[in-house]
Amino acid sequence: MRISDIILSNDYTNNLTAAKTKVNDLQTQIATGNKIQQPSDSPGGTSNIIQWNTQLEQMNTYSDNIDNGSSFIQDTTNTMQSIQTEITNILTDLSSVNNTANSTNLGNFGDQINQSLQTILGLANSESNGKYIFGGTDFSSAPYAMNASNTAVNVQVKDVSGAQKITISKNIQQQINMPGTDVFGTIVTQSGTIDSSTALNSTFTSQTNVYDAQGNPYSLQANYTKTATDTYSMTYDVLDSTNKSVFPIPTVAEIMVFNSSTGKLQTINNQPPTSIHIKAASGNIDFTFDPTLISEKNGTSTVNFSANQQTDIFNTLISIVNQLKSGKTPDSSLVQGVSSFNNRLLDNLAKSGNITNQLSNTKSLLTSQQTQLETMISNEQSVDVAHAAMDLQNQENLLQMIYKMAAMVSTQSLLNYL
Amino acid sequence: MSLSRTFDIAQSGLTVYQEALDVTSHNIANASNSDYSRQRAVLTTAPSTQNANLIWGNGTQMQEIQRVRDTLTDQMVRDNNQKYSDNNEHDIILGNIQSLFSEPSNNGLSNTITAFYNSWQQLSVTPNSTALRNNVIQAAQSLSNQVQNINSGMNSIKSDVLNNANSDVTTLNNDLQQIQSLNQQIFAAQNAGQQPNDLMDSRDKLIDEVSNLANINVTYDSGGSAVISVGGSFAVDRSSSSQFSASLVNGKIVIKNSNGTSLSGLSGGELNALTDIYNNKISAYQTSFDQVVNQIMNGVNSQTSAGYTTTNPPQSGINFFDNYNKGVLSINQQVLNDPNMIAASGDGTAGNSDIAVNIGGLINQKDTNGNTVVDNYATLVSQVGSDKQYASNTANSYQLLLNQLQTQKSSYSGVSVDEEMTNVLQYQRAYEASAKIMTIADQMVETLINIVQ
Repeated sequence: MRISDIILSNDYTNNLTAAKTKVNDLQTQIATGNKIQQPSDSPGGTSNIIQWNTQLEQMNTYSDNIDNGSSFIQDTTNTMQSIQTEITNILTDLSSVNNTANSTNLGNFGDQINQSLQTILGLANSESNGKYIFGGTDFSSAPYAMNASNTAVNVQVKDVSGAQKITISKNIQQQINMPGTDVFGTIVTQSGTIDSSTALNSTFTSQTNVYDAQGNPYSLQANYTKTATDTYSMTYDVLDSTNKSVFPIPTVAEIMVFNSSTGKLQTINNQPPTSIHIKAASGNIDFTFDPTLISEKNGTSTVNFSANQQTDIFNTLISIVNQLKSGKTPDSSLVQGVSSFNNRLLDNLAKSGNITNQLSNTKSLLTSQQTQLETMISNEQSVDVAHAAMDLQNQENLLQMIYKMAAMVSTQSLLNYL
Repeated sequence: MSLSRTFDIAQSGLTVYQEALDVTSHNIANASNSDYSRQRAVLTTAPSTQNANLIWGNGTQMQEIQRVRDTLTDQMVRDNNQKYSDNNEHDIILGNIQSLFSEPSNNGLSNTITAFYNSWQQLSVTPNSTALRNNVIQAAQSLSNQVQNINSGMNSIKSDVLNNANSDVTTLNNDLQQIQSLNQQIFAAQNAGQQPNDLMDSRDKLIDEVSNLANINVTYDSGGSAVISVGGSFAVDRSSSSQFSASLVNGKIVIKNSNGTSLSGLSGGELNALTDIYNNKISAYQTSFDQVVNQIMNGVNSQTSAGYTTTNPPQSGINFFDNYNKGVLSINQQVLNDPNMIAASGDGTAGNSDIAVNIGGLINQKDTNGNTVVDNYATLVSQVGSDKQYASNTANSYQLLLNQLQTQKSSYSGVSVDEEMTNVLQYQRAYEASAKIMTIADQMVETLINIVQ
C-alpha cells in the first residue's frame, strides 16, 4: 500500500482521538464513581436505575412514615399507661370505700377520684406532634371538656372515631391512632339466642337504650329476619326520643350465618364476626355494636343487649364522685363500669403494642429491602474503580506510545538525508 | 546531422524536467491539503525523425500532467459521508435532548416526581401541618419548573434544528451554484485542450460537502460535467442549478426544490437527520412526555377534587393543578395562596389524610397499559437513550469505514513527500545531465570554430 503523508497524519489524529476519548471516559467514570453518565451509556440500565431509585426514595419515605407513626403510637401508649395508672388508683379507692372504717371519709375519696378524673380528662386531650391523640381525625379543638356547670364531660368535636392511616409499604396502610370512641366509648354487647326453629321470613326485634355524651337516651333497635337455615338478615337503627331515626339505616342488611352444629355465630357478611361501628350524622351517637355473642339454638328467641350504656368513663366517674361527696358508696354498676373500662384499656394497650410491633417489623423489612435495592443500583451504576484505574493506566500508556510514535515519524523524511 | 540538433535534444530535456519539477513542487506544496489530488508528470519521447536510413530520437516531451484520482473510491466516500453525517447529526442532537432529562442523577425529573409523591406521603402522616403542606407546594413547584424546563429545552432544540435546516439548505444552494460554475470552467478548459486538475479538485471538494448535507447521486456527462441529484431531485449540471428551500408545513420541516416539490427521496445527510428529528423524534418524545405529565396531573386532580380542604368551612371540588398547557404545568393559584386549600382530607376533618394517602399511592398506580408514571417516564428516557446510542454506534461504525476509505483515497491520491523528493532528485539529475550535454555541445561547436580558424 502506498503511504502518503496525509495517511500518517490522519492515522495519528484518529488514533490520538480514540485514545483520548477512552481516557476521558475512564477519568469521568472514576471521578463520578458512575459508569452510566447519560441514558445512552446504557438505556436499559438507566431505566432500571430510575425505577430502583424511585423505589428507594419511596422506601425512605415509608421509613420516615414509620418513624413518625412509631413516635405517635408510642405517645399514645404512654398516655394510655398514665390513664391506666389513674384508673388503678381509682379502683383502689373504690375498693377502700367499702371498708366501714372509711365511711366517714367518703368525701375525701370523692376528691381523690375527682383529681384522677381531671388528670384523665387532661390525658384524653393529649397531643402528639400537634395532633390530638384521641381526637380521631378532627383536630379543630380538644376532643373532651367539662361542661360549664361541671356536671358532665362532653365531646367537643364532631368526630373522635376517625382513623389516622399512614402508608408504611407499597399497598400497605396502617392505622396509627386509637380513636376516642375505642378508648373512652362503650360497647353495646348483644347476647342471647335465636330460635333455630323460627319459620323462614319471620322477623323479631330486640332493642335497648343507648345514651350520648350528654346523657340523652336513644333507642337502638335490631331486626332479625330468617332467610335460610341458620342464616339471618339483620338491620338496625337508632331512634331519638321522638322516635325519629338519627342514623342512616344501612341499605344492605348484615347477613349472619350460624354454625349448624355448635349454634355459634360463624360469619357476618361472609367474614369472621366483628363489631359494627355505629355513628350518627350529628356525631352525638358514636359507639361500637358487638353482636358476636349471639348464638342459635332450638327454643325461644331471647336476644338481648347488655352493658350499661348510660355513661362513658368520664361521666361514670362524675357519678361516682357525686355519690361519694354526698356520703354514699358508689353503685356497684358504676364500679363495674370502671372495672370494664380498665379491662378495655388494657386491651387497647395490647393493640397499640401490636401496632408498634407491626411498624417495627415493617421497618426491619424495609431496611433489608433498601440494602438490597442499593446493592442493585450500585451494581448497575457504580464503576469498579480498581478496574477502571487499571484501564486508565493502560490507556495513558497507549496515549504516550501514540505521542512517541508521532514524534518519531513526523520528524523524519527523506529531506533529513539530502 | 548538425550539432544544433544536440542542442535541441538537450533543450527538450531541460524544458521537460523543469516542468516536471514544477509539478513535483505543486505536489509538495499541497502535501497537507486533504482535498488535493496528487499530479503526475507523464513524460514521453518526442516524435523521432528519419535521416540517412536511420531513425533519430528528438529528446523528450511532456505528454500530460495527470491527476491521480479513483472515482470508485470517491463514490464510496460520498455514500458513507451521507450516512455518517446523518447518524452523527442524530447523535449530537439526541445527546442534547437526553441531557434535558438530567438522568440518571439526583437532579433528574424522576427524583422530582418521586419527591412530589413522597411529599404527599409525608403530609398524610401529619395532615394538619402547615409546614408539610408548604412542602407539598414546593415539591409541586419543583415538578412544574422541571416540566417547563424540559419542554422549553425541547422547543429550543426544535428551533435550533429548524435554523440548522435553513442554514444547511443555504449552504447546499451555494455549493450547487459553485459546482455549476466549476462545471462550466472545467468544460471550457477541456475544450481548450487544458487539464483543469485543480478545478476538478475544487468541484470534488464541493460534491463531498453536498454529500454531507443530503443523499446525492453523481454522474458525469460527455462533457465531463458533474450532474447531481439531491434526494432524488435534480440539483445541478453545467447549465443550471436548483435552489432548495426549507419550510414548516403543518408543523413539520419540508425540503422543497425549485419547483416547490418536496424531496420524497431524502434519506441521508444532515438534512435528513434534522427533518427526522424535528418531524418524528422530538414530536414523539413530547407526546410521551405530555402523557406522563397528564398522568400526574389527572391522577392528583381526580383525588383532590373528591377531597376536602382544611379551610373553615372545608371546601370540596378543588383541583390541585389548574392545567397543563403549552408545556406549562400550572398549580391552582388558590393552593399557592393558601396551603389549607390542599384537599388532603377525605371527610373534611384536618386529621383525615385519606386523599394524601391516595395521592402518595398514585406513584404505584398503573395506567390502562399497566405502567406507572415512573415506568412511562423511564421508558421515555430509555427510548431517547436508545435512539442516541443507536445513532452514536452507527455514526462510529460509518466513521471507521470513512476513515478506511479516506486512507484508501489518500493512498491513491495523497502526496508522499518522500516520493516527491525522490522525483525531485531524479528530475534534478536529469536536468543537470541535459545541461551537461548542452555544455559539451557548446565545446564541440567551439572546437569546430577553432579548426576553421
